[in-house]
Amino acid sequence: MRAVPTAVPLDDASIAETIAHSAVLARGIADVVCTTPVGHDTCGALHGVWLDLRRLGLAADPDRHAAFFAEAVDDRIAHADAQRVLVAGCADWGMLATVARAYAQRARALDVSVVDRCPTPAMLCAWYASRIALPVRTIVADLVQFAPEGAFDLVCTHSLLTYADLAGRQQLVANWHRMLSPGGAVVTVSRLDLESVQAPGAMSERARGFGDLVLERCGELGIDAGEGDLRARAERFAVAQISHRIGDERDLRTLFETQGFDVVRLDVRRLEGMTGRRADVTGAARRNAYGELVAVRR
Amino acid sequence: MSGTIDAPVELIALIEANARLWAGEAEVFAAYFGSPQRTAATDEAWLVRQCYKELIDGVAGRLAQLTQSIDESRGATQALADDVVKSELEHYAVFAMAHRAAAAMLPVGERPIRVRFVGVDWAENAALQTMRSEHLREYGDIGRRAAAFTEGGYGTLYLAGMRLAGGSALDDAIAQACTRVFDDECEHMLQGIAGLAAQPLSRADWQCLERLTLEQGRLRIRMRNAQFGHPLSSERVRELEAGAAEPLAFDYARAGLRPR
Repeated sequence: MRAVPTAVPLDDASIAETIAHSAVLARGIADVVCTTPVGHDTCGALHGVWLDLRRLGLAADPDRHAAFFAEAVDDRIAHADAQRVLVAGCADWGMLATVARAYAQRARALDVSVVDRCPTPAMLCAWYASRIALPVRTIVADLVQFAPEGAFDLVCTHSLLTYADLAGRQQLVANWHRMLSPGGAVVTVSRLDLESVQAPGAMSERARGFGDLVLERCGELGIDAGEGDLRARAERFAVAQISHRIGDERDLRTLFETQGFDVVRLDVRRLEGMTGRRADVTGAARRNAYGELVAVRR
Repeated sequence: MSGTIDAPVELIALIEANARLWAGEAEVFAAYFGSPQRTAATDEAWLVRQCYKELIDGVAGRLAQLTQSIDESRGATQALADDVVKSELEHYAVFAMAHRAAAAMLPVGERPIRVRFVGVDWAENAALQTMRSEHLREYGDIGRRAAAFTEGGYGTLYLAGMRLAGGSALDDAIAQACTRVFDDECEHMLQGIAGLAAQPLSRADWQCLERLTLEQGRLRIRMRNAQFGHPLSSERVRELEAGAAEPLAFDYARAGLRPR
């Protein structure tokens, strides 16, 4: 299953085009396939609009931490000879593309697996991988229970930890430890709680505000919001998401250290968001602090 | 099928050569569904893999083909409206329902909450997909025709599943899914086969097509035997790959063909 990714789009125009096309596909697939209960809805509330939000610059996606992921993955390729990579939970093909780009730029062979609880991201990753002729294993499973036959060298994931409460996060990180080879690493980004992010107003008001913002962005970018009923999808997304508080960077470090990892990099990055206070919803590209972390299995 | 046309002798030879492999695939299902080892857990396991085939091999694979050289005017919307994509997506949905029925019969604690699937542990399916890709790359249109011809294995899984109707609740759920899929698959397959009758293929093309379909058909038997937990021994699988089964009778009339 190993291959050097040679056809990964690297230029912004190709990436934007891939996002635009797959946004349409994701809507069509999610509306049929997504049934996993997440937050106040099913995962369809996320998967059916996520690529549209990325297209509009409104998603809290891995691209907001592109430099970190590129550096951290490249470092694991260069200095730890990481070959077997697990994309642990994803909303679409974004993290797979991030990993593939890093391997393409080093011209190194990649053996990649993608795991998510819902078949929709797995399907989107299979679609993306097929476009770039990259073999990928797509697995639908609960990451807390997932037990692969072989070990991974690298686990890459973005904003997954806040989906679980503390006990769930501990189980998840413990399973990553079991899945990794000695010296293998987790590369991840997680929102931190360094200040109160509770926005004024009820959720329904913020959801409407988010819907307004989606329409505004569509107007700015010349996108037909009516085609995919984007406003309704955006509001559904806004209401559905939940996020558990993870604490500050010390809590994030402790989470990994107590499960058998050495945290070798933990940067706190404060990002400005596009949502503003009126549309401050979980999962959107809002102003917040994030922990960019690399943890190596002891 | 509207109208009936004469089947070229090369097409009849192609069908007859593959009919033994279709029968081989059918023997896998007969052995599994008739086995006392069959349980809700084993049904859950094969249905998971069937869901994988429908969504990853079927929908994702087809969408990747359709959107490879996509332009704004045609767009992804058109790809989603493709007949094969729509039917594969629907097939996924009906097998996912059957999967939920199987999962509900498992002891509490062993029940997956939702459809889960793995492709990583099904090397026989990966081998089939790889072979199809290689045939497409090396032989172009003939490779594409070979994949279309072998797709669905003459519907033998769906026919076997349909025969479960009237059994347990799980049997009925499987039968319902298979009935829904059989109607689609059978029509697609017969159209594809009948379409060959109208194609101006050279003698070498027909020979190549037969070789490729037989190679794929043999791998299909292995793939199904693995999907259903190896109800047949490795020795029997090898015999079936060699054409040991009595050939299935092809429904020429339903395909709109008249054998000469």
